[in-house]
Amino acid sequence: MHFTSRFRGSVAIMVLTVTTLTMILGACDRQAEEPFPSNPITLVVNWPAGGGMDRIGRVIAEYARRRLDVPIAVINVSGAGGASGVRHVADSDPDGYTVGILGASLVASQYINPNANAIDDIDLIALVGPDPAALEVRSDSGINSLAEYVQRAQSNPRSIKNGNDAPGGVSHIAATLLERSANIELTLVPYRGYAPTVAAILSGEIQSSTLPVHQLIEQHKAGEVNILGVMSEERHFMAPDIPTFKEQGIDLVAGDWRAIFLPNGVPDDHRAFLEALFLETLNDPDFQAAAEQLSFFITPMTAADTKRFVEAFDQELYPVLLEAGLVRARHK
Amino acid sequence: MPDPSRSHDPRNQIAAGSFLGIWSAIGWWSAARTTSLWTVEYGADPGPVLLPILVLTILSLGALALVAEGTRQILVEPPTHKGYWSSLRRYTLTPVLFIASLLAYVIAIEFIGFIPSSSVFAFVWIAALGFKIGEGAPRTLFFMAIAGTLIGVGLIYFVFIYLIGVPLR
Amino acid sequence: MALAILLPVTYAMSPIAAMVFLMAVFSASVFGGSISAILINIPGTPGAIVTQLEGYAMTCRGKASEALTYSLFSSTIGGIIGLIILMLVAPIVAGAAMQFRSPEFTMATVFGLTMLAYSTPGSTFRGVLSGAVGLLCGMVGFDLVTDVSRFDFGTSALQSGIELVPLTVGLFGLAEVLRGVENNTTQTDRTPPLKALTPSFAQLKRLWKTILRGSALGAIVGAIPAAGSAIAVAVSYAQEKRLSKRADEFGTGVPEGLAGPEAANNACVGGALVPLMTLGIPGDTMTAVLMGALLIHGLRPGPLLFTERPDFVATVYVALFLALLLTFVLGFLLIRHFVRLMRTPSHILLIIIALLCVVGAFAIRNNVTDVYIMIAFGVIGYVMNKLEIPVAPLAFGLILGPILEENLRRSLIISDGSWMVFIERPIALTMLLLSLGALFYPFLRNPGKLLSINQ
Repeated sequence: MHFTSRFRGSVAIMVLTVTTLTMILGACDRQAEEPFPSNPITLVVNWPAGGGMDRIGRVIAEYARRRLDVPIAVINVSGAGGASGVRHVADSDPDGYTVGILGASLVASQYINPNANAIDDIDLIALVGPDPAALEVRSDSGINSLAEYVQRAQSNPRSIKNGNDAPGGVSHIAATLLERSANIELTLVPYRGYAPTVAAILSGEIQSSTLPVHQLIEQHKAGEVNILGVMSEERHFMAPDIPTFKEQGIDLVAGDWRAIFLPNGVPDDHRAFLEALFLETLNDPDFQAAAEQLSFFITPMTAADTKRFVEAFDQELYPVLLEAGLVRARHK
Repeated sequence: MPDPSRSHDPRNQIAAGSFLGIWSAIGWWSAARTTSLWTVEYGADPGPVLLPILVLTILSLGALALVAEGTRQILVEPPTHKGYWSSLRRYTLTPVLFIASLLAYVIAIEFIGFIPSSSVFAFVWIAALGFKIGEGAPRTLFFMAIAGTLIGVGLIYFVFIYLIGVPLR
Repeated sequence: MALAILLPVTYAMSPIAAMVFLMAVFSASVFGGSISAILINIPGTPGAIVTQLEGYAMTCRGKASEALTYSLFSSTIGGIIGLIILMLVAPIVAGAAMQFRSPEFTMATVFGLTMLAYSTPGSTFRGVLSGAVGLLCGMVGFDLVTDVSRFDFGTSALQSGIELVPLTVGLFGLAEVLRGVENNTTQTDRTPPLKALTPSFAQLKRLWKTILRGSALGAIVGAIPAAGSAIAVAVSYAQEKRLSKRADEFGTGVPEGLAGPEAANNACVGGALVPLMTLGIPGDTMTAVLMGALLIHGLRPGPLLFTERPDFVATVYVALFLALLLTFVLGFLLIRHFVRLMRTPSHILLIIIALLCVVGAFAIRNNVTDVYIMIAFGVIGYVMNKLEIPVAPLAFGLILGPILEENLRRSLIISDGSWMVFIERPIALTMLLLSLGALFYPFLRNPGKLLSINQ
């Protein structure tokens, strides 16, 4: 049976090769005790490629990379309304080589989805900036101001159909907050993402929407849609002529925001390094110009401020979600 | 691809009906456990329960019809040729082994990395399948396995992981 | 999928270079999706699920290069017709597409599902049930309208839902590998000599009506936001089957059944660009990625694009034309090499395909769960094949199910619960009647045959 033994011998050689290879690769992973960072850093984006979160994530990675000797690889881990990507980072090794970017969906997910991470499960290190919601109506609706909108909705409750995300999504929360703060009732019509909502307001299926300014700014310029107000502290740089809600007498600030985070338990020196790195990047004028080109507001905050900001957001959101029947996990 | 013109063996009707029946049973069970499907009112929206009920009803009735029709045919005219059930089972050992090793391989990727685990998986299976076919001398088979592993794993690594940057390591 | 993965590559390019590059990827990935569908039974795009019904059947009969040539010719012609429609009548088509609201989408999906049930090779009865299983799979995870999680069995893994890519890769690709390891061979093992297998010009010419029909259908359906290529190919396939004298042979490798859907699939590319260019609305996942790319390069598609940036609009047309041309030339040159790949000893090919299935399922969301889902559907596809239950409807159920449910329920929210909304609106009503007609037409011709269990 000479062929069997030869076969076996060859298998042995193969196994040996594979084992050696494994050891070499394993050794590469463990270049311990070298200055941080000495390996590539991964930035996890919790929405698919091409979306808003992906675009800002990649610009941040691009400009942060210029301050480092190692590359930053951007990967998209999407699913479960953003919760999958957060979990991916929260469960990764807390060595500082995995960083994530997330948005307001974090706060809503923790109450809606029993399997999503809570704010305490992760370590927020920097706020990138807000992405305020706005209120848009079709031009042919004859509504030209926020006051008219509120009056129309009050005189005929639920007659205005507003397009927004699924419950718990950013534009859905903005619509719910609008109902509360203006004391009106709308019919909330859910769409899967911003693009179908844009299509629906253009086709006339809905009369208004609570999307961010940049989603409908071109249609506003073309006169198909009126943007009635922006739900932010200050006016949006892309539409400086449009007043905020506060200016029009309704105390409403709503919309998305974006922040950079780490898993809990990253060593202090690595964490401090990353916080400084991203803060410097976000304050870099070149970066800010590039982000503005992509229609992003950049208002950097330190880790401590970010945590306070997110906690305040959480406090504000909880009663809204509770009232909407969306708190299914982690009751307060 | 099943031949469309041939009518099905009654035993196949029962098997296919049972398979689809399992799906609907799992579906009903899971839907029944999701209390928020049944308890919450959604206003004008018929709610997240309408379509599941509709589809599960169709599926259950269809599965039942297949099983009933198969049983009826067997009762009316018992099939003459034996061995339908064993023909379903006959070759299943290799696919079962294949799936088991594929699962082991996917788990191994996380622990020992993409290249080593893929190489082992590819080498073992190319060698084993080559051996099973029994074409060529063991030496040829062995070198084919080496070549197949190197080319296959190398190409996939180069295109997906090196060029495109899929984070599998 | 290729587009999403390669998108980051363009971040460093100039806008025009990026556009040309992405158009080339867009166009090539549609044909590439058909190549894998024809050769190894893995559909690369949703539209290619229909392609493989005839295409892979042809490959199994040793006619791989013939199938690829048919596919390449009809793809290119379909793509060019789609482009011409985009150039000539984009604003008109966009206006018509705006007539489509939730009730119309609902009925378009119903129509697509009906066409599919009607045209699936094998038993229609089983096709419907397989489609029902697909609809169930599409319901897994968070419900859009209420955000309730369904059929997740308490695991976070299933909450994100079942992605199309792992499902199709498992259902078609891995299942084929399992059949291969069972029989020690692929069905394509004995590829006959390549000569004389490329179809003659006369053979291609015979298909021109089919290709024209498919192209027109694809360009129109592609322009409806969100309806996408899946419905276009299903309708085209059903139509060719209905018109063909050889309807019974469909599923065994009939060129018409390949050429029509292929033309439709590629005409959709031009069609899908219509709402993107004229209204700033991406029509499907591919154009959504494309729109993301435009935004990254500081271009904001919208109603003013044609007046403000005519240069850019022209660039898109030229880029798409070049991309089609390039795909055609490369495809033409490479077909024989693709087919030669199939001469790799089957046991090596099978294992490489298995590795590709794993990496492909992972790469779509960088998620290991998707790999396990892929493997599960590999087993399901293998079992369904043994039990002679058609698998293609399952994949279509997964694609169309969520669109159907979402639009149905949204229609009812907007109509305040009145089901009349599907009857009051002419386009919706027409499609509803067409669907009913398609379901009951065979019954009128042959009363015993409707959904006959045995057939």
